[in-house]
Amino acid sequence: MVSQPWKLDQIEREQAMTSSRKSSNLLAHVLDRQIEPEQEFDDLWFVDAVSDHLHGDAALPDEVVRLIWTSPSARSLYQRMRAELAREATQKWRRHGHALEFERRAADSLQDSDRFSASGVTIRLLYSQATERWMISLQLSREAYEDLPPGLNVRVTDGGGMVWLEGALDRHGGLDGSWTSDESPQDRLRDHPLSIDFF
Amino acid sequence: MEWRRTRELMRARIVALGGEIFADIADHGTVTDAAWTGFIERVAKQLMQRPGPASDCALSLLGDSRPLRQALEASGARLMGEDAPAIRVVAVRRGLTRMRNAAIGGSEHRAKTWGRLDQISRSVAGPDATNRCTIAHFRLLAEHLREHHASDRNLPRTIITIEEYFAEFCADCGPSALDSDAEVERPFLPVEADLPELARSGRFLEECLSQLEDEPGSFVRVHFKMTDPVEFSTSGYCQRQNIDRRRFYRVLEDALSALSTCLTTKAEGLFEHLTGFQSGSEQWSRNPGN
Repeated sequence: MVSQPWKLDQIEREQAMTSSRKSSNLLAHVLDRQIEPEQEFDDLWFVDAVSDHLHGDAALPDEVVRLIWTSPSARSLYQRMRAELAREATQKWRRHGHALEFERRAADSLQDSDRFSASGVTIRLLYSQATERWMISLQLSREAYEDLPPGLNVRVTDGGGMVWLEGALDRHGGLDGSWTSDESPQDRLRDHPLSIDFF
Repeated sequence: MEWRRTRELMRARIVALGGEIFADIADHGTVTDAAWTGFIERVAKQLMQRPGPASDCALSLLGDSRPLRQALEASGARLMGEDAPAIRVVAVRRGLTRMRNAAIGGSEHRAKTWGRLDQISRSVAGPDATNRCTIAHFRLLAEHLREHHASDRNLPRTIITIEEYFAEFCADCGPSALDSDAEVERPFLPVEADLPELARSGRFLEECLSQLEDEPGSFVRVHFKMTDPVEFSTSGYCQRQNIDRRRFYRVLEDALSALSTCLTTKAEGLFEHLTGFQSGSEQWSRNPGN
């Protein structure tokens, strides 16, 4: 087992993520000003390693992660591969009839504990009295899950641009998260339809 | 990749030294010949301070800087607008790529190479291929070229160079970015869920920000809406604080470059354990395919 001292534990990660989200636009501009390193890399090898990761369970090799961090050319290839895979997955979902959009909800149909399904996708909303927070969970049917390459992440967004959930699915095709906005999900659902995309 | 390195060395200096030029173009739509010549001389002087193959290539390109000037003039007032840092980088990159293309014989030479590449690409893709503008196809093509055209130095050999040809010439790839003056893409950010260590960058960025002096640090926070309460516009802030916007953007650009160096150093530190380990890319750099 190769040591990976750059990996964070869960708490460290969540704290740092919050800070990272706030400054993500700045981070993007700062990375965009990186100068390509003098030492070139074999982009054939790089593409194969990223492809193995996106299509299977292989972790990204440390050397690939290092290149994504330090080489703008490597980052650009990585970004493009992810975007292409996401496009292919979307087309496959459409062909197989899995839902990518959810209709706007009528106000009187909304409840504190809610569940709505469309072909291959179920979204649940649950208000926890104990934590006074909304929880959201996404569950894909086995067919919909199997139509997604393992390396892709899923995002649920509403028509107003708010991201409800995003991240990697667990091995059962599920993804959970908690609500972070001051507005309630019910209010958002009255005004906006939900959609799913991949990244 | 060599071109990208050269381009970015030039981009960094041009954006850092171009404050007055950007402001003049934003105000008047153009600059005087004398101002432009003086600017290019300052860029050349800076490049000469760091000799090497990339600087030599950059200096030779500066012989005809008209495409760069045209690309900046096409961006006009946006060079001083709210998105100035992003607009400047995009306009300079576009101008530099046009300079490079003009210097290596213009589109005629590249079109000739593209003609051959296109033919090989079609034979590799097969008759049923509907879209050749994919990394999977570029990868196959790069492998084919390394195996079957190893001695032909005119043909590209890396996926990145092949991608540049397709972006410029192949209809499958949509309109060429070189032909469009309108778009400003948000710079790329790796996926957090995929690279959990990205989270650490938030902390690294904070550490690097705290190393900046007060003024550049606060300009960065203002521009990237990291203040509490948030500043709605850079121009409003400059007006209220009586700060010249030319100076604001000059200080901001210097700060972003400093942050980029600081963050890269910290990121490299994360991967120090790879030193001494012969990676795929290191093996290749000793015996490159191109």
